[in-house]
Amino acid sequence: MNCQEFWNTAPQPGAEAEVHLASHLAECPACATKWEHQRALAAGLRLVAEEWRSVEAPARVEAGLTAAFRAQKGFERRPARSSWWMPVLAWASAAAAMVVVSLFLVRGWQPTAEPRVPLAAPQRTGPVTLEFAAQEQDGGAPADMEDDSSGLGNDFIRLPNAARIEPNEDVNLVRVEVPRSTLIALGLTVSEDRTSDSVLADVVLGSDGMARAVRVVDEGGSLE
Amino acid sequence: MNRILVAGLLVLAAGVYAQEPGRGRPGNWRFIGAEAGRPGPVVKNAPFSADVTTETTQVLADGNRIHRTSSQRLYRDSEGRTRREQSLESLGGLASNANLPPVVFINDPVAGVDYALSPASRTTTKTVRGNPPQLPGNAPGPGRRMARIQSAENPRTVKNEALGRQTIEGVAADGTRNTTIIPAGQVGNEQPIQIVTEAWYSPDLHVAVLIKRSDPRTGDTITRYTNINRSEPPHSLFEVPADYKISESAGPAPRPPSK
Repeated sequence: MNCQEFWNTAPQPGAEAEVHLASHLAECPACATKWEHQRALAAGLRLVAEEWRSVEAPARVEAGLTAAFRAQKGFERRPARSSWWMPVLAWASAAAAMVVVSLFLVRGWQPTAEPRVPLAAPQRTGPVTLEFAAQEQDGGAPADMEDDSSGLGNDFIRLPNAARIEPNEDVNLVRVEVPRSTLIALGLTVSEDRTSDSVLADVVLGSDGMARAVRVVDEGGSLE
Repeated sequence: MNRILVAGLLVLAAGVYAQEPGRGRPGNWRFIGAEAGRPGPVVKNAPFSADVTTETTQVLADGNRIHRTSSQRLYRDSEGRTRREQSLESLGGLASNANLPPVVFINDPVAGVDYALSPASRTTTKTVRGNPPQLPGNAPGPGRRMARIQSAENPRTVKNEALGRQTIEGVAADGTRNTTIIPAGQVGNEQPIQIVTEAWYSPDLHVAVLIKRSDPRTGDTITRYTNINRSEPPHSLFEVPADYKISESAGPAPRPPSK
């Protein structure tokens, strides 16, 4: 089984690979790495789903709101009965809903959930983290002063006018969401009809803190 | 009454939504996360802390100028751990108005892990590493390493000059000037290209505390270490605060085998 056949028959991320698929994973480090990254991504997404599941309003709040709504609109199946506690319940339910929504907005929408998905597992295929320059150097090819790919994965694009990354340089990665139009300002070619879209991008920072390279981590890394 | 409640909820939501920096506003950058990429060589028994600033100025053909800056606070302890507090206000010079929250990178070669901390969201990404390269006692400075790399790039002309010793920001530093000339036609250039790098390397700290680089292709770049303090930084700086949520990174991917 070659790599193409493996991915054509691979189960959903997170599921266990079958025996004949597992044998390919044992033979192919590239697919094994990609498979592990997809599993990690699936696990992270499940974690996010579990966390958000607890952010829904309590059942009694929902019931109270439903009752209040029916009382206002005359949707009761029983004959409408005027009682003193209905307005109180309606206001209390509304207040509780506001508190829940506020908590959801303040705590649930902060970008804490997204970093839970490891940066090394973006929604794409291919090498996903920085590769060590030494691995390239071991290949015997001399480092080229104009080619920063010796220190990065193949999908990183060196920023215009950025200095090269030294083989032993301390580099770090920052993931940002950025409008495609901003990529144009960086000197990268972007399809004009999608400039209003946002993309996720990884930015490589050199030891001096300056940005050196960028890659798009969703949509297969394409800028078009 | 319901209309009032719905309107109140919308106003509240809009208020909270607007307070999140950069969120949802067209044209803005938004910080998602960070990850320690690749640690440099481990340097032991040379603790210090310093501010590191880098400025790049490029003059375009029409006289226009592009000026980029980046700043960070750097710590290193006696065991070789490093902490890099990186300002992302300009995202490494990419966007002057990015205004992203700062991020902290911790390399811990003792524990074999690296962290990328986001103080704004109190989260961190942990990366388990192999052993990074150790810097031996007689390791060459950046000037010699650069010369070694460039010497393999025939037919470029490389010239190294010793500039003597100076005290820079309170530490002794040895200066070298490295001049590389790319001959005409080497990279499609009509005229030779001259690249000059002046580095002042501190043998005590094992870092170049001042680097000036002039390259007509990328402009002039100056990296300075200032406010150098050679006392041992507090150990707590190299630990993840207890209230941070830690997520594990998958770590560096091996290079795919060539087929």
